[in-house]
Amino acid sequence: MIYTFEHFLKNPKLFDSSSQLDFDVCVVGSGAGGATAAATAAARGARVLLLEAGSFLLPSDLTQREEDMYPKLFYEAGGRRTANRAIRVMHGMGVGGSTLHNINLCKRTPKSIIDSWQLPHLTSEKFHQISEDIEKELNVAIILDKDFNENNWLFKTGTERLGYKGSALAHNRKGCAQSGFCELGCSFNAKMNALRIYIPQVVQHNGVVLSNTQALHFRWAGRRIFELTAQVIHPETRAKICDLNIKAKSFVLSGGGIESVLLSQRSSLPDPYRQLGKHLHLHPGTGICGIFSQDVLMWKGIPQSYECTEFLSFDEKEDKRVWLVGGSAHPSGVAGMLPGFGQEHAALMKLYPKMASISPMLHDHTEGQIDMDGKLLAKISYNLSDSDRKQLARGLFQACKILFAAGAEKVYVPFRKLKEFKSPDQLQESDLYPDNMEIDMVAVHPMSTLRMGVDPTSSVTDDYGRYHHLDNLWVADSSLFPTSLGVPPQISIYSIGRYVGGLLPL
Amino acid sequence: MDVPSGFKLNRRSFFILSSLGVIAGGSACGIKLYGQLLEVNEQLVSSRKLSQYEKENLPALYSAMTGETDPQQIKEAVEFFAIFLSKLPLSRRKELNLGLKVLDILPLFFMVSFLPFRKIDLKQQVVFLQKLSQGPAVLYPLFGGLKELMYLAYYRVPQNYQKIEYYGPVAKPNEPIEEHQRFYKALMAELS
Ligand SMILES: Cc1cc2nc3c(=O)[nH]c(=O)nc-3n(C[C@H](O)[C@H](O)[C@H](O)COP(=O)(O)OP(=O)(O)OC[C@H]3O[C@@H](n4cnc5c(N)ncnc54)[C@H](O)[C@@H]3O)c2cc1C
Ligand code: SF4
Repeated sequence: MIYTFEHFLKNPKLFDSSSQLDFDVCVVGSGAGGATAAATAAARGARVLLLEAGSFLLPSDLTQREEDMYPKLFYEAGGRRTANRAIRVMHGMGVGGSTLHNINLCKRTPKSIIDSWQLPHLTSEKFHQISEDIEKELNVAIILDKDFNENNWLFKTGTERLGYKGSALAHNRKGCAQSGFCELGCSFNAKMNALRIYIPQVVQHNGVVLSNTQALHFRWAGRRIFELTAQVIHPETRAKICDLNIKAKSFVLSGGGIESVLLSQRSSLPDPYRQLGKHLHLHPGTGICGIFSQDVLMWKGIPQSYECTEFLSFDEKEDKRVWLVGGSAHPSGVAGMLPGFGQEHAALMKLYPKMASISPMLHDHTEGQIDMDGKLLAKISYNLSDSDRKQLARGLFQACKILFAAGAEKVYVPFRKLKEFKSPDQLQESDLYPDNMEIDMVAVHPMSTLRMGVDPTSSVTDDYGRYHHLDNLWVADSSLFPTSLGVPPQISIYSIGRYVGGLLPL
Repeated sequence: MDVPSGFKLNRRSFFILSSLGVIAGGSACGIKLYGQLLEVNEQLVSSRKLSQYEKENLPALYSAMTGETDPQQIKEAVEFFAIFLSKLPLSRRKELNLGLKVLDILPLFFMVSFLPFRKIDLKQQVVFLQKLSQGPAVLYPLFGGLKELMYLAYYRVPQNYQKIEYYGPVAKPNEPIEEHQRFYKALMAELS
């Protein structure tokens, strides 16, 4: 059963009797981690309650308009930024979490990264076995050449001409109409995401899903959480509709790399080694564009179907930490990143149909931190380290070269003072080293903020995902990963949800 | 998908009914609602009424950033801002207002003009923004969010996005994709 705020408006006493809110497992957050953990626990016979702060959106609610969808799909209407304002941090909400609006590309965490975590119970073999199962369930398949859009064709052409390593990416789609609106949610219901695959499983196994319901505080004593307080909130007015006091044998935090920390901090969970919210990785990136003589229409067709891995290695000795992937953006996304104002900006935007874009994304070594800003908002402290800036400069430089190799007439790198290159001879890697805030960046993969580890002085949970200092609290989302993954994380987050959901005591 | 039986109200009627309920409930209800709003604190959406600074500066900024001078377009953009900004958490809205205040007085501070930003002419505003955006890094935070907001407003207008050959939405909601229909059938039946 899925409940929305409308049910509670009609009957605020819907869950008035305390027995109705007493579950085996209560999962907070219905994204990749939470939905999978809830479905797994429910399939094992647990009575599961899944709470989601965002709305239960139907495909017909997804209008493919940026101004409509940002407030519905993203925290702070998509305008969340790091404290220094240098990086826009996109974090999703809604039943299905960030999988509602993500681009669908799927990669496993490399074995060497998992091995580096040195977790006795979560070996790379075990993790990959779970990921393989998840990939089957989500219909993960390589995007075929015939389904590449022009942007990705050009990217592939340039990469191959330079002899760089590159390949087609795998995505989780079925019945994709190739509309190109993935980042605004799929009106065609073609995403094989948490909403389509795992939420129905929760419901089929008699789980209860409460959307528009925000978990506010864990109440705990000794080593146990005895209650979770939550509120049903009207999605438009944000007014409280009713309070809920939830009891469960086990609680699972799956609010994502930022919100899970806030709930822990709001609840003053025991944190003797001050680990809550530390070690934040973001995989920050940016976009550059090449201008071609022909129409590219980067927003059209399947986005991000090709990658260049020439400058990404998981062998630390190589110090290659930048991943190149095809870019795609709708008008306001591009306009917000391009420098200039008025007529000058309008002239750049006129080139939009002829732009092809590549995004360098960092496998970041920088560690940031999440703190509460007021009671419910996040302060995200994150200052890109010197070595990460060098990696970014390399990524920008190589992405420019690829665009030229593909036939671009000019290439724009959106520093605050636009850098325009008319030929590859003008490029110098050192010119692309970004000083503080010189280039606008975006991050969509917050992680590692409640990380797993065997040592409680440097981690928050054990290698089962159980909170070190509480016996009935578990974590199942992107915050668990001990390091940056260096790859898009959704497959690993679904996998960690499956892992934790399979371990919860019934 | 299991949906509760007897649930017949659709979303629109709920909005209407709940708004009517608030009005009819009078001040007692208003006070109660205010109390509830306070509890949700800073995640709250803020008011649909624009503050003085927003009213004075957003239209000027919109023109300067997008080059739009048609009064009707500007008026509609301001209406859009009022709705969009009401969806931001209250404290973020306060930050925006602070940003607008700073921007407004910066021309005086930089001795570009004896007038605040909103009062200088469009050409000067553009030149000023240009200079500022390439000036000291400490001022850069002013731009990130504001630019996104301005272009979100500008490219929501079909005649503006058509200028750059963007074709807008292509969605055909409720297309007869089999799984889609199965998955949502029960719920749609109740909600529509
Ligand atoms: C624009 C974009 C594109 C992306 N593209 C890709 C991609 O192509 N491939 C890929 O692998 N990854 C991609 N990602 C990242 C990926 O989607 C996320 O990392 C992943 O979905 C996160 O899963 P999660 O379970 O950790 O959290 P989320 O999916 O973010 O889910 C957390 C959920 O918990 C809810 N919640 C939080 N706090 C509370 C609370 N207190 N009470 C109730 N509910 C709460 C939130 O509303 C949210 O719905 C993308 C992300 C973005 C933003
Ligand atoms: S490209 Fe495919 S998955 Fe993306 S929104 Fe369009 S139909 Fe949906």
